[in-house]
Amino acid sequence: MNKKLTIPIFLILLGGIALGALVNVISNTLTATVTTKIPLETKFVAVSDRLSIVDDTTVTGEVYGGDTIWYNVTTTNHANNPIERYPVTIVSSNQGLSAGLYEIEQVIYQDNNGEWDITNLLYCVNPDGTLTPLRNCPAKGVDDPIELFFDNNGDGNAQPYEIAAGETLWNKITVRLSPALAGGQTITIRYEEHFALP
Amino acid sequence: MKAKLPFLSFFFFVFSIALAANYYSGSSYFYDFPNCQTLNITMICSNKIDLNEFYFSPNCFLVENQTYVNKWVCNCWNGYKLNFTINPASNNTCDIYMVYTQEIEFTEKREVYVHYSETPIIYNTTLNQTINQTIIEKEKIVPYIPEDVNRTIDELKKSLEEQKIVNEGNTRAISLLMENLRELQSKSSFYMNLALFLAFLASLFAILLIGNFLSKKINS
Repeated sequence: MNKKLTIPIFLILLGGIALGALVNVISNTLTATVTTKIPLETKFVAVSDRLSIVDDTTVTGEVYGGDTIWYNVTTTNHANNPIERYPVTIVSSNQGLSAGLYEIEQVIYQDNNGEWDITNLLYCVNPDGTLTPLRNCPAKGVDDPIELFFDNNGDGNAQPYEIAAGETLWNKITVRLSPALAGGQTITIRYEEHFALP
Repeated sequence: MKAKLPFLSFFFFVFSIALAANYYSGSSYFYDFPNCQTLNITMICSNKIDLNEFYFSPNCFLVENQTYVNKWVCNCWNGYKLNFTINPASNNTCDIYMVYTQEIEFTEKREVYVHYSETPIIYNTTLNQTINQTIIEKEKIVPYIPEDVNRTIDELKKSLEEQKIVNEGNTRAISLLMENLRELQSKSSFYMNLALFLAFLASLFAILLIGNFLSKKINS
């Protein structure tokens, strides 16, 4: 007898799907080449007779006793932050400068807010950054410069002036020279912005 | 059983973006980091770096201060905005390298097919093993933030090796179970065939007895 036998086989197919959240780490490099630029741009924009502009920060001219000279300076802050700075004026003469700078009789300062006689608020800057009143400043030799600072509150301690981000300031300085000044001497005036004194 | 090995990959690619811009001293510049886990900054300058000449914030610390090289470490986060401020008196030219790591999460689809016969225990065991394995992987990887790329690669390789060993063990266990199953299947097949054969003989014997009994009855 030929009888075919079958055995039941259960076949089950199961499918499973697993979702796995994986975290990978990516490393990146951001590079930049930074060349810093001086943020304050200072410029002589106008000067009186007797004076001529040498470059943005320097004027020169032959002056005589009793002359009145003036110059107009602008300063722009290109930084995006306010900056505290110390504006200084550096003066020299081909005949030297006397002690107490009596060649200068009067200095008038003018800006957007008005004008003032600042002769008694002018100081010369010592090598250590301290200030000496104008009339006590030491004499200077031929072409030896003296650095002057306008101390606004007159306490003899240099305080910085703030210029806002992107702001442009201007001021006009008018100087009346002493009639006793020896005639025909060449003076050089530089205007600089410092971030610290000296 | 067909199971794809968990796919672990570590992407390490470096791309550089050269930023060319005027940098005025006294200014602040900002860099956005939408995804950030660690941030290391190296500055290499052509002139001596003065004290406080450059400043990075927030949560940044100067960790190495050399004459021409400064190194900073920042504790950044996703959405971090780096503030780079230059001192107004700065007069320098520097190359700045900002190396940062970011974490990227993606979903990987895995398919596991389980083919079993008769014994439901095999199914349960296999499925549980697969699911547990997935969970272990996630726990291993999610909180991991590498500080050093080489170390990360080594550890990921090690992790892959461990998983390979686990999967090989699982494969061996499944093979053993399937072998046992086939043996059981073969044995049960033999006994069923034997039982049917005996039943056939018994039926034949019964038919012969009944035939014999009927022939005797007819003859009498």
